[in-house]
Amino acid sequence: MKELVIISGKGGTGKTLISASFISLMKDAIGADCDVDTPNLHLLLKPSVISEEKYYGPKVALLNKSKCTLCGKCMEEDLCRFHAIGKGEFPVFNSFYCRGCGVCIVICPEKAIDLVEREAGKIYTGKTEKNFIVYGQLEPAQLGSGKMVVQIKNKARNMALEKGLELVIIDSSAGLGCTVIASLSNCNCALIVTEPTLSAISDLLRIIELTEYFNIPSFICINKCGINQVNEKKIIDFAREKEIKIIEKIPFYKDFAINNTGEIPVISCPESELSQKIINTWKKMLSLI
Amino acid sequence: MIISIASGKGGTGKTTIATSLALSIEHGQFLDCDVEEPNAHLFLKPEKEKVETVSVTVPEVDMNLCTHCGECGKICQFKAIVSVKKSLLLFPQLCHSCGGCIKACPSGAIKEVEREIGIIESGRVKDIEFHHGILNIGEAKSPPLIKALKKKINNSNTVIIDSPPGTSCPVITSVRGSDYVILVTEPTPFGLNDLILAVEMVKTLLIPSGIIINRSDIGDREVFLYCERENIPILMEIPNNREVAEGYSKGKTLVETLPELKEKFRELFKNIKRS
Repeated sequence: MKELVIISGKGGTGKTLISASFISLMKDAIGADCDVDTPNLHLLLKPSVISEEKYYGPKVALLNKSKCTLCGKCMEEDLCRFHAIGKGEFPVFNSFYCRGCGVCIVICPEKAIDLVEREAGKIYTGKTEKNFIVYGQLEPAQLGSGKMVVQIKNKARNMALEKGLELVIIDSSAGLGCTVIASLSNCNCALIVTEPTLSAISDLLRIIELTEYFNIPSFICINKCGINQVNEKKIIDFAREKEIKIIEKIPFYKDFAINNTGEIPVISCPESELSQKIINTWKKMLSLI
Repeated sequence: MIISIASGKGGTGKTTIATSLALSIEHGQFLDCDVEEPNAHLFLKPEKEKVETVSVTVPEVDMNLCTHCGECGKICQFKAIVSVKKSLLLFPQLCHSCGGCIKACPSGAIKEVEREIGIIESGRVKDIEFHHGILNIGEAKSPPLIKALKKKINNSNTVIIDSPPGTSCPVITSVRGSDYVILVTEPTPFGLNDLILAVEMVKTLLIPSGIIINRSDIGDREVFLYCERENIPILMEIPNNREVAEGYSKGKTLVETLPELKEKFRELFKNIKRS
């Protein structure tokens, strides 16, 4: 079983469209949407949900007021480094700030504080005509997106092993911190979707440093080609220098951008030039995994 | 007054709006809080004046004093310090700098040392004071760097914050404390889906917000209907424009390509201030 992750650094370059296209071109693959803040893969693949489970984020401290003797130890300056305990009639525990470190629990002489689990979202398994996808929705303004990504990946991996499937396709979020690192870890290879803009190039250089840091072989697909040829050449030169293969250049299709209403072109209009380019990208990618 | 520019979805135009708003107001502070992938400097091109490193504290253990009692491993919720028989394993990248292990150690064997996680670069663009953070590659947690960056805020200034995408930790850390959040979206099913999540986030944080619809003539009308239904003000609509996209690809800001928008941004700023 292999794992392919689609990343970009910059948002809006086309990760989810590529992921959704790849998944719909497979039968027997599992898709995992690892953008848990703003998942979009299911909007394209439109799966029917076959199971959902609760997701618990990092634990948070909770005060049992009946045990609290107002000694004030937990409210002392510098005790809580996250400033999650405010002063009030009783100590005020702010669950948005709390990281669940447990320092207040140790300091409390009355054992009045506990770490409790907090429901912070849901993880779904969905079925499309040919495939399965696993995706999650972290509640807005909650913590613990990295932990949720790990759980989604584990679930997708276990499903693939159980069903004897060959490939898990992972749609990562933008950026290169916690959730992206969690999406990348242990993958067999990464496809980086970029575009010929200065922002995307700047982000590409950093995301390549990240894949190198984690020793993950990577490939590049340049999307929206034609808007800036100087930048296209910059990407090509940089890829050559880094010995990273550019597997496809997908032109910018104005009509597609304007009429973007949530269809997957390889399904809704497989004969179009855009679809043919994506299908080619997929064939090349498949031979390289 | 602190105004944050955020969006659930990436690539909707946060940096485009943030940089153009700053260039229209022509003064104050600009903070690029997308420390994972900072881009605003590509457009504002500030003259770099200062670079500082940002560190977090992590434990260091004096093995001569350690009695292997295991208390440090017991308190650590993040598995950053693990006590096994006669040795201690430290995983500094997992550490949240809570200081629990130091308080738990009965023999005073643990002290805190600094570990670098990134840098802050500062400079100026005309009358705008510019700061951005750059997270070290391989570093998972951006909030400590974002917090350090936000210490640059001088409350008597107008402050524009360019936030990272999403709706969790890095974004919350960036927008918390703002007086107003501008959410940038595009009128597609993806833009709408992520806008709804971003609106929920700012509501949870109790910050007033308004929407800018970028590439307003693509996709469908659902975002407009949503804003109307939910009574969320649409602050500005920016039509899709090839010239703007080409300019963007070269690091040209929106108001450089379309200078007539400066007045609109100033008007928008005045309205936000009044509200």
